[in-house]
Amino acid sequence: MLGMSVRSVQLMVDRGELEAWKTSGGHRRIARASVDRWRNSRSLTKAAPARPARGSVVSKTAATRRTGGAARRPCVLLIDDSIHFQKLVSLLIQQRFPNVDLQIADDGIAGLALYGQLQPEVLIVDILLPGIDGATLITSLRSHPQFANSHLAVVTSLDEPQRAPYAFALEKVPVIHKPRLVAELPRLLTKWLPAKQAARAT
Amino acid sequence: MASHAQGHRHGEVFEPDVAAAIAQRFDGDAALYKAFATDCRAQFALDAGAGEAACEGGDLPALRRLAHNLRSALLMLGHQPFADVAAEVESLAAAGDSLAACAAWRRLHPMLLRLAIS
Repeated sequence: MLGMSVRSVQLMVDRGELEAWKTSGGHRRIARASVDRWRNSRSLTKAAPARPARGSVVSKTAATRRTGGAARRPCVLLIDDSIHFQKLVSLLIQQRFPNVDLQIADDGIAGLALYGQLQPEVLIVDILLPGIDGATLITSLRSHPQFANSHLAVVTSLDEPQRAPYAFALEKVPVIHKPRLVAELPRLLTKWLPAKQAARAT
Repeated sequence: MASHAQGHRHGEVFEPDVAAAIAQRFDGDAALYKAFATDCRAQFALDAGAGEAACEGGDLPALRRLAHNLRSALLMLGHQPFADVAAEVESLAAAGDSLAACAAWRRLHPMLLRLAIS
C-alpha cells in the first residue's frame, strides 16, 4: 500500500508517524486511518513544482504514478533536503538531460514512498537527511526486489572521515562529494541512462 | 588543486572569487554558476528565517542541517569565509551547544541577508 519495506514502516511506527498495536498473537497491526492521514499529508506538502521548464519535468509531487511503455522517459529520483542542491541538480538536468524526468523528495521517508511509486532508473541520495539518514534508507531500499533495476549514487558534503559511520551502506556505491557534483553527476547519468531518451537536446 | 575558492575583500564587503568557483566547482560552466547563484540568493532569505526559528525554538538538529546545507552552498559559490561560519554553526549544533551555536548563527544571519539582497 505504501510501496515501502516492512523495516521502513516499523521505523515510521517507532517515530509515531503511524499508529500501531499488537494482537494477542504478537502481530503488529497498523491503523488504516493513520496510513491515510500520512499519505494525505505527503500529497499536500509535495504539490509544488520546483522549476518546470524546457521538456524536463522537475517536480516534488508524491501523487505522480509513472506508467510503462515506449513513451516512458527515464526517471531520476533525488532525495536531498537541501533546497540549494535540489535546485542545482534541477538546473543540471534541465540543461544536460532535458528528456529526463526528475522527481525530488525532501526526506528519507518521502523518498522511500516515492521510490516504490516511481521505480526510477536512477536514485540519488544524500547522507544527512531529516528522519532517517541516507545510509539507513539505502539499507531499507536494498530489501525492495525492484531495487536491482535502479542505479544508485550518493551525494554528500561529508568528507571521507565523516562518512565512516555510514560505510556499511556505501560499499560499491559511487559517492559524489557535493563540491564535485557538477563535474561528476553528468558523467554517471550519461553512463546509466538510455542515450537517445536522456541526451542533450540539440 | 586548492581545496577552496579564495575570495578577496573590497573595503568591508567580502567578494567571492567567482572565476575560481566556476573553474573548481562548476566545471567551467559560468551560466550554470550564475543560474545557481540567482536561485541561492532567493533561498538565503528563507534560510535566514529558518535559522532564527530554529534558534528561538531550540531545535538544534534543524539548525545543524540548515548550517550543513548552507556550508555546501556557500562553498560552491566561493563564499569561503561565510562557509566557515556555517561550518562553525554546524559543528556547535552537532555538539549540542545551543548557546554557542546560536551565537555563531547570529554572525551568519546578516551575511545571508546581505547575500540575499546583493
